[in-house]
This record gives sequence, C-alpha cells and structure tokens, in this order.
Amino acid sequence: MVVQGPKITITQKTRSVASARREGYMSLREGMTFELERKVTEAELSDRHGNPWVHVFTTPKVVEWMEEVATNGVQPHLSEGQGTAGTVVNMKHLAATPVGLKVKVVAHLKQIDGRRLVFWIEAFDEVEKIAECHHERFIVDLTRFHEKVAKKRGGSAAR
Amino acid sequence: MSLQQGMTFEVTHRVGDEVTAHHLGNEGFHVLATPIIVAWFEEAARTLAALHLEPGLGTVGALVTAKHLAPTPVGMTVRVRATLREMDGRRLLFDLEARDDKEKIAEGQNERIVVSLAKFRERLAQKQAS
Repeated sequence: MVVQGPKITITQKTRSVASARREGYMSLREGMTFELERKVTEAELSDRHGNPWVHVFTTPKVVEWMEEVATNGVQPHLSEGQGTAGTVVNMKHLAATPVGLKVKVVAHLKQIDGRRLVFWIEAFDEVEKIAECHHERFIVDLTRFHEKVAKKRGGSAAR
Repeated sequence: MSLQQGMTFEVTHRVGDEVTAHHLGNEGFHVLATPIIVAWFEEAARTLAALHLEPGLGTVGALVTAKHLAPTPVGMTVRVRATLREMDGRRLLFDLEARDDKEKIAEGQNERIVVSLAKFRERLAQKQAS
C-alpha cells in the first residue's frame, strides 16, 4: 500500500495503538484530564518540613499532590499487575499558598509514547495559579519491577 | 553573605517504609518516592544557603527539576549533594545529585530566592486576608 501525505503521522499512530493494545492500556487517551481539590493544612507547611518560619504550602508537597493526580488518574486504565513510576519532574513554584486555602491540581495527559506518559500539571489556589509542572511516568509491570528491585537489594550490604 | 559558587552540602537519609511511593499512595511501589527525592534536594540546597545567610533571611523554592534514574529499595542509604552553581542577586541555582548504596538514582536542579522572612510573612498575611 502506498501511503501519501503525512506518512510519518500515520505510522506513529498505528504503532502507538498497537503498542497500547499489546501492553493493555487501550482506554488511556492523550488529552485526558485528571483533577483533585484539597485544603492546605498544617501538615503541608514548609516549617513542618525543615524550613522554619516559612508557613506555606511546601514545594515537595505540591509535587506530591501533582504525582498523586497523575498516578490515580491513570491507574484505572491499566491492566491488573501494572502501575506507573515517576521519572521526570520539572516544577515551577509560582506563588506561596497560606494554610486554609483550597488548592486544585489539574493534570493533562499530553502524550502517550509507548509506556512513557507525559503530563502537564497545573495547581491553583483560591487566589491564583501557584505551580506548573512537566511530569513523566513509566508504565511498569509490577512483578518485573519487584524482581529488579529485589535483585538490587540482594546485591547490597543493607537488608 | 559568604555564599560562594561551588560550595557543596550533603544530606544523608536512610530509606524507610515511610518514604516509599507505596506509603504515599502508589500501591505496590516499595521504593523511594520521587516527591521525597524532591524534598531531600530542597533540604540540601536550603541548608547550604541557610548556613551562610544573615539572620532574618531565608530562601524559598522557585523551581525544582528531578530526573529519577533508578529505584531504591527500602533499607538503603541515600546521599544527596547540593552544589551552588550560580548566584544572581537574590536568585540561587543549585545542582543536585542523589546516590544510593549502588548507583546514582537522581539528578536535578533547584532555584531558590533569598527572602526577608518578615516581608514574606507580611505578603502572605495579605493574601490570606484577601
């Protein structure tokens, strides 16, 4: 068959669908959006995480919520025995959020590249946008992942 | 300010169950979680800065990047090293690297802004009241 026009696009699409079918996450689609909304409590504050006197929503906690949205959003679309592991976080913390404000985190699934998932995640408090993040996760087979980790642990002095 | 380019600071943490992805809600992943690496990156960079800042000054994180390269099982020890790469007025840029007992597990950068704690608290109170 002779394919004319945007040949490369067609080829990539076919491969991506085929690989999704093979890996068993057919229902996952680029463009999907996942959300969570939650109040910032004392537990998320910087001074609880070693930055004394800075009583704001701490950067690692924002990252944690961002990863949570992406992870939980994708999980229902995976097969039994699959999960995702975070590989890349590029996060800009734009504004400080005091305790008591509600924060909404929205994750957009931008790209599915085989087992690699690319997200653009934004966080807003009640006043303004507070953070944005490029995030990547990998779909992994948990059994194989456990084997790999066990092997690494076995080769070390600890435990 | 006695902060100087090239200064380094290291923090060490043992990986316990409470810092795994599983503990943070990603079921089945009994390995060091990415957000914890981010927290340890920030801890190393922030502490390096804090050791050399005048009283009344602190730093807040503006940007953090992390490439998580390898999983770390529970029981291992992780060393995180921050290196002050750039100083540009109140802006500090740190290079970060984390290694467990076996290999390099993560690398990234953290940009921090030096702030007056009194002014920072004032602005925050204004936002809270709005």
